[in-house]
Amino acid sequence: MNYLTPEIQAAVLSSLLTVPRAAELSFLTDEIKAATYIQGADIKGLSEKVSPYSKELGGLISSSDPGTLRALVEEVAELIEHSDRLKVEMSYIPSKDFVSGLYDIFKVLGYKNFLLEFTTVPEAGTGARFYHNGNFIDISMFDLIKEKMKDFNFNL
Amino acid sequence: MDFTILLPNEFFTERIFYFVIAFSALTVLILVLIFVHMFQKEKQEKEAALETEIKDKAYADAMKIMDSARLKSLKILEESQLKAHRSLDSATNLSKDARDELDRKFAAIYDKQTSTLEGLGQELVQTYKDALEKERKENLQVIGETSDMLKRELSSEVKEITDAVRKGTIEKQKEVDSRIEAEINAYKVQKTEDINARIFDIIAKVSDKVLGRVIDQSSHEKFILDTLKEELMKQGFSVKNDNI
Repeated sequence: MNYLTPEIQAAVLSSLLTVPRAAELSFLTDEIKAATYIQGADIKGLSEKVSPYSKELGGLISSSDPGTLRALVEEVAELIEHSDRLKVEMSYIPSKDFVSGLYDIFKVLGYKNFLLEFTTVPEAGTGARFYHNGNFIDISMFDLIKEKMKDFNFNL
Repeated sequence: MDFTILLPNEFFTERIFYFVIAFSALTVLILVLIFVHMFQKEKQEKEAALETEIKDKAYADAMKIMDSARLKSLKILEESQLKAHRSLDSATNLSKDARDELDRKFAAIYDKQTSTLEGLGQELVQTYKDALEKERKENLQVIGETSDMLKRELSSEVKEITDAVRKGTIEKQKEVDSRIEAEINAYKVQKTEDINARIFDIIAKVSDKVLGRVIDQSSHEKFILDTLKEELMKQGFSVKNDNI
């Protein structure tokens, strides 16, 4: 990629966090790309809409000419398309703080250029399930309680 | 609670099988020994009868020989007396009185010799009879002693076999008992673990449901994040980060 350096790629995905937000950004960049072919289009207004998703990307878009802008949004689309996906199943839609905290955990573990993909599954109950490239972690309050009781023995 | 009723009945079948085998073997052995004893006894009786028969025959033969010898002796005496008479008859220088006196003396000698020979024959027969009787008594004593010894040996052998069978049966019984006890203990442990697991399941399910209703979203999210970090650290990942 010519315009999106590895640092900017990581920063863009870190600010997006989830797949739905990346999809929203993709729609927006498609609109910007289309606007570059229209005379008098409000490219600046559209560029400002990018900032809430990623300040770094917003800054790049606002300072680019139409030719560069088309190449830049294509790189953004490619980045989102090829980003790694980490699936999470929970029984409710999580808060932003939870999403951010979860993303940081996996980033510390060494994951790069990835997005979280949440799915609401009522069966998850009080737990959560994580999937990534065939790996699976099941966090369950039920299992945790059972594990804590392992050392306890009922005298019959 | 008697857990033995919950166990499979192979142990009881096995125990009965061992008892039947042991007692069958003992019965067969005793029958064989009785048969051998009877066979030996019959053989001894036959031998004793044969010996008696041989002795009686020998005794009869001896008596015949003795009678024959006595008759021959008497005949020799008689012949010698006749020869003496003839010799005396030919002597002409003896008087009639002297000849009569001589005849009387010869007759007395003849009678004395005859009685001596008869007494000698009877004495020999009596001695022979006594020897035979003594030998018969000795033989009977030997046979009796042999029979007693055989009885003692058979009795001791039967006793040894009985003891061995009893000992083997008791040891087998102990082994079976210890195996049953071990099985019961293992069964108890397994059942205890099963019951514990069930109780854990029930408690965990109830706790899960109650906590699922009571706990608020932020607390639950914190729980998930903390547990995830703990789980990852257990798996060897370093996720200790205070900022998270």
